[in-house]
Amino acid sequence: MIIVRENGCIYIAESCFDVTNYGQMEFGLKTENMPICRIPGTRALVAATGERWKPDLDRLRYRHLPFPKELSAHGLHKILPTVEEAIDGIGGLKDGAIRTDLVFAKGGGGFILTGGKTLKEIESLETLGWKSTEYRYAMTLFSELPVVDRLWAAYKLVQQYSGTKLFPILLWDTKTMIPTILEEDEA
Amino acid sequence: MSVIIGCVRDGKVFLATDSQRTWGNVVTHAETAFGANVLRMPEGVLVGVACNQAVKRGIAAHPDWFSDLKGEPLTKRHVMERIVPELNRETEELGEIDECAKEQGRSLYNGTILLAQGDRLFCIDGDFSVQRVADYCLIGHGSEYAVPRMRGFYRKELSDGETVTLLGEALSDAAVYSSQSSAPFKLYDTATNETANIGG
Repeated sequence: MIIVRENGCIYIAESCFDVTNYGQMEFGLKTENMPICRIPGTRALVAATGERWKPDLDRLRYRHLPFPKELSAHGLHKILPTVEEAIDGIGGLKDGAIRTDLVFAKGGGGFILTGGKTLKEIESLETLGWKSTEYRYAMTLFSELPVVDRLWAAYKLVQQYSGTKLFPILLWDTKTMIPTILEEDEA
Repeated sequence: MSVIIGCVRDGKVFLATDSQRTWGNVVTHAETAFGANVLRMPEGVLVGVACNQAVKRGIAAHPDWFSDLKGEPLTKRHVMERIVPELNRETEELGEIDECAKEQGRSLYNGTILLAQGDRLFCIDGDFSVQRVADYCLIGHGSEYAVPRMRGFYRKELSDGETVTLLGEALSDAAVYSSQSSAPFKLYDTATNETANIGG
């Protein structure tokens, strides 16, 4: 997952290509399965990455979290018990902590809840997941490009050199709040 | 376990399955409605169960999970908020989630469940995550042997007849290579109340 803070908003991009045990491909393109979603009743986004992202994000996808009007560490800290309670309902906590990395973004800022308890504010560039080092390197290579082109080029490069299919890419931003799909053959 | 293939078509979903049930050294072939791998539940919901019989019993005992739809289409939200918490509780009460499974984030003992209604197909995975299936989905022990034929030959453009033939061939592949799966093969669809034999 790549997160960019730029142009007064937060961009979150994640690969939607996923081959499950059950023969499905690109299942992430179904709205109900996307790894990034809008928190109901708000203009905030939540995204998840990690081994348990599917069940853990599903616990939050339809839940009306008492999301703070202004995103702050203090405000998020207050809703974390609600988040933990939702995820713990189906056994998602380990030693009292959430195992999935969760991203909360609204307006021009956001936070990453990582390691279950650590809250980190989103900087200009954040990369998460098992290819985070490659993503970060690729993003710096194309730093002169506009943000959407930069994300496309970075994913293309990482896909090419890692041999792992990544496209299509799901992209959300906190300004338009509309999901966009970046296809591999886009110029 | 058995193999169940869910396939989303225009206006309906096909569920194709073999008829073998396996408990350790016991192998049977389903002839009764409850013995089958696919249960018919209220509101036209078909439930494909590739998990142990206790979990299946728990689902069959709760038609209210589906009758609550009251004419509304089955949604992932309903599955997440109504069915999954109840399924989790039921599974725990039946003693089907042990400490080891909890450590791994809960489990239906590697079981997987398909829910189909109208043209909607959902898959409840062993970790209680729910996926809306876009095209097709294969579950159960032996399904890995049916995947190559589906991957290689399934196209949305196929007619219903061609799709049914392909589903039968994919189940045959599983039956040849897996001791967990065998004929006869059955076809259910969400558009009719009928069950058809598709070979084996």
